[in-house]
Amino acid sequence: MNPNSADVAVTHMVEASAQSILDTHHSLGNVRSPADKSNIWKEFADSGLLGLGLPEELGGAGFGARGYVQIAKLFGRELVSSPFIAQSVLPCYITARIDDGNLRDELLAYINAETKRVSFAGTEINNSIDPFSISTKLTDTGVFGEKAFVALPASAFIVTAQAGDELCLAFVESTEHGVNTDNSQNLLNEKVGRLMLDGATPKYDPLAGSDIENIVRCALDLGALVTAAQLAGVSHKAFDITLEYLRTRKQFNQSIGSFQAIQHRAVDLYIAQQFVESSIQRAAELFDEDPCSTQTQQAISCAKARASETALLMSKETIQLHGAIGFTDEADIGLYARASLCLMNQFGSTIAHQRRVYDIERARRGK
Amino acid sequence: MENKSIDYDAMGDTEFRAALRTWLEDVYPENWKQTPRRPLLRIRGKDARAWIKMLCEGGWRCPAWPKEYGGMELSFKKQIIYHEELERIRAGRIIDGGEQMIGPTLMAYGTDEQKRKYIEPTRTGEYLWAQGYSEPGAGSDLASLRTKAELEGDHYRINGHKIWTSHADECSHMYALVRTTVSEKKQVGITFILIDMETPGISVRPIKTVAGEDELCEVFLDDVMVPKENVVGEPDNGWTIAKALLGYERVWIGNPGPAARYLDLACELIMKDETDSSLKDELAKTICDMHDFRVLYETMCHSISPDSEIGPEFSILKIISADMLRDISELNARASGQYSQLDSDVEIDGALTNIGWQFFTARAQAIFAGSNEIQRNIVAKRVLNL
Ligand SMILES: Cc1cc2nc3c(=O)[nH]c(=O)nc-3n(C[C@H](O)[C@H](O)[C@H](O)COP(=O)(O)OP(=O)(O)OC[C@H]3O[C@@H](n4cnc5c(N)ncnc54)[C@H](O)[C@@H]3O)c2cc1C
Repeated sequence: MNPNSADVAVTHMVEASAQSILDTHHSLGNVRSPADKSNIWKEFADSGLLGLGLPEELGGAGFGARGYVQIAKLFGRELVSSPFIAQSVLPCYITARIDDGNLRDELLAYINAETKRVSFAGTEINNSIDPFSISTKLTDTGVFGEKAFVALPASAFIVTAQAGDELCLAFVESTEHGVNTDNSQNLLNEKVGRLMLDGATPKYDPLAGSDIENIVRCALDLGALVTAAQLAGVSHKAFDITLEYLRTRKQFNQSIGSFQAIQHRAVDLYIAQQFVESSIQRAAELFDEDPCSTQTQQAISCAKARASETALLMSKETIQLHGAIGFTDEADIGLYARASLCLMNQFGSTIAHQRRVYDIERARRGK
Repeated sequence: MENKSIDYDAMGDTEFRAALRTWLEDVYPENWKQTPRRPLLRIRGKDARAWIKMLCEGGWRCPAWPKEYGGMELSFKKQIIYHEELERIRAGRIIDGGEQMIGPTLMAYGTDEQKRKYIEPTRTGEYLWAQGYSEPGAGSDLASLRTKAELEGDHYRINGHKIWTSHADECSHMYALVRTTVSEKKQVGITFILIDMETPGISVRPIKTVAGEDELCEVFLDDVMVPKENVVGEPDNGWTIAKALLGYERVWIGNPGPAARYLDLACELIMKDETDSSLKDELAKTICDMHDFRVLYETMCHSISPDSEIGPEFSILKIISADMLRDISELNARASGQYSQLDSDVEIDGALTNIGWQFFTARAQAIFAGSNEIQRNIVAKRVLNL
């Protein structure tokens, strides 16, 4: 099995098919106000977009990080609001890597389903990128703890929990006794909420051991990387829109882009964007080579930190460079800032990722 | 004459890298390496000549030159490896205008006589070249230069004043831009000319820099008589020639090596348990910057194909490298505490450094070869179409 075999041609095909679904079923209105997006999800399911990361023998496209990065950039540019990462990318990744059995069959059924969904629930309120830094526990009487910012709605959850000094993955259905959620709306008009587990019984024997720990670590990194790619798409589009505005908007009888103070800021945004693109690409290549290596972890943390910081920079600069129109709900440019804020701290804050890079570098230097 | 006969083309990239690495590890002198004390150490004058001689003898001289001129004629990929390995051994930099500018310029525009006369001694390091472009009144606006060259018989009589001429006092020759015609469009009427520094009428005055060194010079030209066959290309057409080779300069000058040496110092100063966490976090961000800069640099270099032009987008590399030097040199100054006040080499917790030197030396990268402001102008106009 090679989950990373997505080649460029397949990626292009998938991108084209995602683009055509978005052209028909998606509009920026979905970001402005709550909308029913179930039909987009259904289309995704029908065209196989939800199982991309599964190996071909399990009905997927063998997508690795490189393929997902392309799709995520598209979603970013188009401001797609969907729980794609938590409900498709990571469930696929985990399913592809665990042994076959009842749990894997059940996950496969979820991944390909049009309506019912499974959410990866690994993060807690501390937003740590260390999978062990959680308080959720698996005991003899079930799972106890609270996951934060879980993608909703979902009929089942893949929950990380500590079992003694091991990390485990537990599959918990939403209807199970001791499972509760609450709901908030995020800036992309997705539902997210707390998953409160009070003695919930996992449906199957939870998976534990060093393999599982590895899978969880890599899944969190993949989540960070794909989020970074989505942010990069958001920044890219916001920048393009703004460049066009700088070329066309006239004041003092000239395009505002002819003013040097503005030109230099535009160049800095351009540089920031170039950084993001190459950083993400490198991280994706490394992930597909070896998802667990220190080099990969370093590259992913760099990519995620940079994508978040760039998105934030891009948000404030693109609004400012639009003047008052940028301050309105009517102009699209502000929507990209919404998306940036929404995504920037998912799968770890900038500082958390930078500190991880610091630790890796310190160890490398033997200090 | 050819480089020592090593068949680089037959070597795979890995093999090539290994061969160069072994050679450098064998021969590269310790005292020419960049250190936290001298993160931008330069090898100059006598040392530069000695290093060029070593390169020639080892068969590693002039990586980009064609073989017919004694170069290595490396693929661009191997040239990148070449530079990476020099950085890895922390080799000091040399300003080698001969290899980078004069060789390629003469190969493209020189007469047979010029090629015969200048290329080989340039390769062997017998001739070292200064760049005589800037003048007191012509910096960023280089085309406004006024050093005058008037044709008198077989010679140009040159009068004027060049400034910021790096290492002019140790160079045997200078390639200069001079005004031969005053015309409406100031880029027209400039001539590219080769000048022997021994010619009567030339005087050189070193200028002490803010870092306490004397790398810069002023060059005064008083009735300097230069044979007219020293003009490269057509008279009045020197601007085109000077611009023609800027592409690759954009690539090499923006390499991440210098910033990486500054980062080494930052790690020495900051990576300790007792350091304040805000400095550690700043260093953490800087390490990420360095990582991503390397990735961007490699990505852009690998996008260059043998016959593609080096576009203006490559200007961003120099902007980034200068900005990073600026930022890291400041971080080092802040992290050094009270030591920043000392005007000397200091040992801080076992790390030998010189806070003033690294701070001041870092300034140059944003000024020379097109200041960062000028580079941003270029990117805005030619890449972003603003
Ligand atoms: C270490 C070092 C080595 C050098 N070596 C050489 C050498 O060997 N040979 C040689 O010929 N020259 C050399 N130079 C000179 C260098 O090329 C010039 O310093 C450079 O071109 C800038 O010119 P200037 O110093 O006159 O600054 P100015 O052009 O006067 O610029 C002053 C400031 O104004 C800014 N500025 C100018 N025009 C604009 C604009 N249009 N938009 C925005 N900002 C602008 C500049 O960015 C700068 O910050 C060297 C310089 C240094 C520092």
